Amino acid sequence: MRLAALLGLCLLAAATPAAASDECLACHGQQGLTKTFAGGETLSLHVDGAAFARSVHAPVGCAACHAQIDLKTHPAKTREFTTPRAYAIAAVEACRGCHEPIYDAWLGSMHGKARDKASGLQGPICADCHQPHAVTRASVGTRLKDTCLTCHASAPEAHAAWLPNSKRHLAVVACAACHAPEAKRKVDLRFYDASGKSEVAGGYGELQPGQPLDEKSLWALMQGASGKVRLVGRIEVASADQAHAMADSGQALKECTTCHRKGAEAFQNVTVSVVGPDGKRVHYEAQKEVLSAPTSVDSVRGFYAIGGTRVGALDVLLLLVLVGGMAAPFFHFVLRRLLRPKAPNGKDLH
Amino acid sequence: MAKIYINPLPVRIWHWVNALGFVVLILTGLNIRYADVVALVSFATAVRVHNAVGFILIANYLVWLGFYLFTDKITVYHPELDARKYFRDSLRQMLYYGYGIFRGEPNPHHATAYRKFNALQSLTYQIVMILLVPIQFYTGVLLWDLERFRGSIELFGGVRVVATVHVLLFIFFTGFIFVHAYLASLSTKPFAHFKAMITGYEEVDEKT
Repeated sequence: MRLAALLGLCLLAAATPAAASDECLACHGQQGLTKTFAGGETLSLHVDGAAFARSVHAPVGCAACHAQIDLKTHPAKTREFTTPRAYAIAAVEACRGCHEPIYDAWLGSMHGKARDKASGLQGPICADCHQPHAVTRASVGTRLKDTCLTCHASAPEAHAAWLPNSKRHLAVVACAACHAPEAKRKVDLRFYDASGKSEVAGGYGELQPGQPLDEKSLWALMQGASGKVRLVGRIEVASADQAHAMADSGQALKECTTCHRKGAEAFQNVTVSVVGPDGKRVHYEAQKEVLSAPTSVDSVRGFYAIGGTRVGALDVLLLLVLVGGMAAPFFHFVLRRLLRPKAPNGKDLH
Repeated sequence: MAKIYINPLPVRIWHWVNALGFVVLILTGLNIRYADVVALVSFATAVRVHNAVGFILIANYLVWLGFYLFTDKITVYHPELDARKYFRDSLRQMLYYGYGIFRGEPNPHHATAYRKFNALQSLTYQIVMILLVPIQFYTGVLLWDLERFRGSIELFGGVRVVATVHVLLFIFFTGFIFVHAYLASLSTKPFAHFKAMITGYEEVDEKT
């Protein structure tokens, strides 16, 4: 019932969100606008209009989340919340209105559970990780990992203590890929410049939605880029709600062969993605073979997981060398024994 | 039978450390690349051992390099600059391994302390020791810490290219171990070359 009501509110807000937002931003777009809570803490009420316009929330407008505000009585004289934190916790319900599955996953996660602990520990809520007025898709950039590190600052050192190539793991594996162990993982390939440092928005051919990219198409696409761009892969969680089901660190995946083995689940689902001019990431499906075909050595130069994305042709070559390396000496030895010259007395000459 | 001192102590130490190390690298390499098939130890242990042994072998390589650079024994790795002689000797050696050895003919190459490799061995070891082993070490170090060596990896063409070169050489060295061990048994006595690599002295036919 509540979901239906909030959904309706979202749709209502979406009818004329831009105009409504402009009305709000007339005041809230100004620097210095603040609110002082009963507890004495101050909250900035300034909203960066440009950042909000680029955010994923821009289409639904202000009222979708701030439904409790009545413009006739705004700003209200009464102080419903004593601290900014209490206000932010209550605002989680607004997020829940549109993101119910994510809310449920978060509630069951170590983050959600931490909020309810009698110890008084305040677990992170939506606004702690997602800037509500500038929220972009989590898959854009490395902002989300950086957000994790703001609280888990010792994570790089903790990983370095046991994880080989820990810096690379932290760079290309989303935190949730291991810390939400039940989540389904996938590989997202992205176009970077030749130095592998910066993601690029062009320089490659046209990607067409529809049929999943096969290894030949991807190879042809990269050939067209003439080495100016490189595909770099990331291991991510396949859905946003699963990405919020963070488990206690003791339950996080630590078994290397979860990914470092042939047929690992993470490499069964592959996308190629680009960031469009509007800042939104667009995903195109690709066949899983793009990671293990011989052409991948050239077309997917910037992504490799030992064992997990190994090229089958090299396995065949190793097998041939192993068999040949043992068979050639064996047959040479047998021939030597069969053809060895004998002395007149029947004994071997050597 | 006469004895010649063919394998000085540094060479013998280098050789056996290298042999043992390469076997460990191949086994742990199989464990790492084929964790779904080969599980001698855990993946993480295999990686740690592979990395540690890799660095030991790099240091060991420097022992080999230092010995040959600073002694007159470097002649064993000198290439034969007379192309006609080189091809004639190579052909003769191939005919021996492919035909003469079955008829009990003597090895056409007579090892000395300064020319212990036959024409085929000479070229093979020049390529292996001066080109392939250093490339394998270099790619291994790059793969050991991908972020630290990000620039070099990108110059190489990307992590996948580095890894593929490392795997191709791993395949080559795996085959090489078998053939090398067998060829080492082709002497007047099956273990003569093995003994020579332990004692340093090789028995040679005085008639030759």
